[in-house]
Amino acid sequence: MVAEGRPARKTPAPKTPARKAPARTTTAPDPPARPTPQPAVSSDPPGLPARKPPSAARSGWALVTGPGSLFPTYGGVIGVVAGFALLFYCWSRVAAQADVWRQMPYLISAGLPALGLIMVGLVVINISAKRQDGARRAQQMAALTEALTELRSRLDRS
Amino acid sequence: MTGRPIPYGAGAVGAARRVGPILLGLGASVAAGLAGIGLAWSKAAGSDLVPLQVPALVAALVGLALAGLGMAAYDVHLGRRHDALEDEAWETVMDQVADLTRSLGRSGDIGR
Repeated sequence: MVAEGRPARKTPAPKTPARKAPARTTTAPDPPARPTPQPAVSSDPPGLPARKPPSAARSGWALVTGPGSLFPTYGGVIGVVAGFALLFYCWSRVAAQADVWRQMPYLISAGLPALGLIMVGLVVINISAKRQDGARRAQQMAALTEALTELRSRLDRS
Repeated sequence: MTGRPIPYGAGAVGAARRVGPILLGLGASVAAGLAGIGLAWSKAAGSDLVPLQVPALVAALVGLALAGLGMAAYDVHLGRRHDALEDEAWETVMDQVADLTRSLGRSGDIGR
């Protein structure tokens, strides 16, 4: 099935194992509810204690540095604003001096670090946005995996 | 079963190319940065004294930072827009899979 507005792609047909013998059913099962985004398969190795669920492990440092956290974005914005403030301070101090040997320290110790601060802040914002989107995509992938597993089980049952 | 069209074709590209207020603001930031660099160059080139040229150099740094800010923000904006379109496509795929599962459940003996 190809939806409208989407170019048809030639993809190789997935290899599916042989289906079970179909059982005759007369009553249709209940329609499935929309799956919630949860990991479909547990990756815990057998014989080891189960890992903590993500909600329990998500505390403190993980809350700040987690992929969905907004703290790095705010940190990047603060860095950019601080960089611009430092640049303007540098300009005001440099413009107030008449000797080059007095201007140079401000240029080197305030102007260039300010530029670096702005660049670092922008990169942090960029990376943070990409991590947030990646986390959301992982959730969606888990939900799709679960939905396809449900579909497969329906196909096997029918 | 046709379902909703997946919003990832020519329409989506057109939506991504549409100019909005955010894009105008970012373009203005880049233009202001480049104008600042030009202004600083004219100040520095118009003076023979190095002490008068150094403040222009710092102003050029401000212009460079402003242009970089606009470009980086535009990059983030485009990335997020692209991801929003992908989100919409994912939602449609999920709806279609749910519809398919539901219709399989209704027909019961499909595949026999």
